[in-house]
Amino acid sequence: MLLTGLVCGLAITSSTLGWLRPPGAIRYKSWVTWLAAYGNEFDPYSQAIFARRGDIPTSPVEGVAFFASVDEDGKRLNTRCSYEIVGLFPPARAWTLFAYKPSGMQLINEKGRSGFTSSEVVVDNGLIKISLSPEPQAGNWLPTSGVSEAVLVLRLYDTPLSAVGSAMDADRLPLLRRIGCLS
Amino acid sequence: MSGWFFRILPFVLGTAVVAGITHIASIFLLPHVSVRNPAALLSGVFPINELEVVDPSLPQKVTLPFADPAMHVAVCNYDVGEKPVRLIIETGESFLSVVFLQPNGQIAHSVTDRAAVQRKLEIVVATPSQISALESQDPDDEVVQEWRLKVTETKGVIVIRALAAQPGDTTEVIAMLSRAECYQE
Repeated sequence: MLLTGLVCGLAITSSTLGWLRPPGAIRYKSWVTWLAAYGNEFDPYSQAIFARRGDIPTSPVEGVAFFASVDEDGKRLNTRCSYEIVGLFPPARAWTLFAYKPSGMQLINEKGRSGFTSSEVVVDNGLIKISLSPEPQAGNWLPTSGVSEAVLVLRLYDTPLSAVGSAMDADRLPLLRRIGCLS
Repeated sequence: MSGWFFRILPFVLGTAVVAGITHIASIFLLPHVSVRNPAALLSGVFPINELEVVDPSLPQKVTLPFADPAMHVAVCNYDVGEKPVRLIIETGESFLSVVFLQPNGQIAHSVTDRAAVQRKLEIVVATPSQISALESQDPDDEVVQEWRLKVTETKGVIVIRALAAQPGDTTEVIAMLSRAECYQE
């Protein structure tokens, strides 16, 4: 009974921290953020997630980081597929959008580009469209190669965005649409 | 049927209770036992009370997951066991942040270049008794321009991150980080 309970408890912990919407996280469409990721206000689930991941989180003083591992239909991002990240980007002094493997390592490709910053991106009539695709795309193309799942991280630095609680409007974040996949 | 049910009920309830306790305990323990603690990883390879800029063109001593590739980094492990540690950064146009990590990897404090006074960010990391000693020496007729960060644990890691918004900004950002100082007083 003791051994079974221990195994079940650890299995629950492992699966809980791997959920697309783990406890302590707030989801806006495809994007997930942890708003209390700071000092003693950190909730235990967020603490455990960051401890397991091993990164240095973006503190609320610095800005907000949004993670996307699924498209707007809830399907896992995959480097064989093409996506459009399109819409409004929330106000910030600067933002960066980079693609990673689920392990947190950068997605490397022969073009040497794994993301964009707000200073590099081409804006068309106030609208930003970034293509994440294994095939060449016009405009802001983020090339992918190989076959693996992907995670996008959008970081807003020095943002007036009040993302605390439910104050943030999900419409202020770009959509993440799947266009198609290589067969 | 009911006899079988009542025979396994204590086992099921006992297992559920042990599983619940294990789950809660593991969630609280994970930050303390994780081998991926960024403060532990950084403190093992960077010097103490000295700032080192991470050169992006060299093989990295430590690769932290989900690091922002547009952010250039400098690290200073501090130890205020004997004396306070002073951090001085001359800020520029680029976004810059300073994060103070506790030994368990959690963020104890953070500031950005918005807190700089005349483009200079000066922070003294000190224990409560060291802060009291500093305050006793403050002149009565002058406003103190430095930030004083009171820490309860004498060791920790300072991570400075500065944004190169375009590849052409890299040289300037690295130079800005290289001019920064972190030293024991």
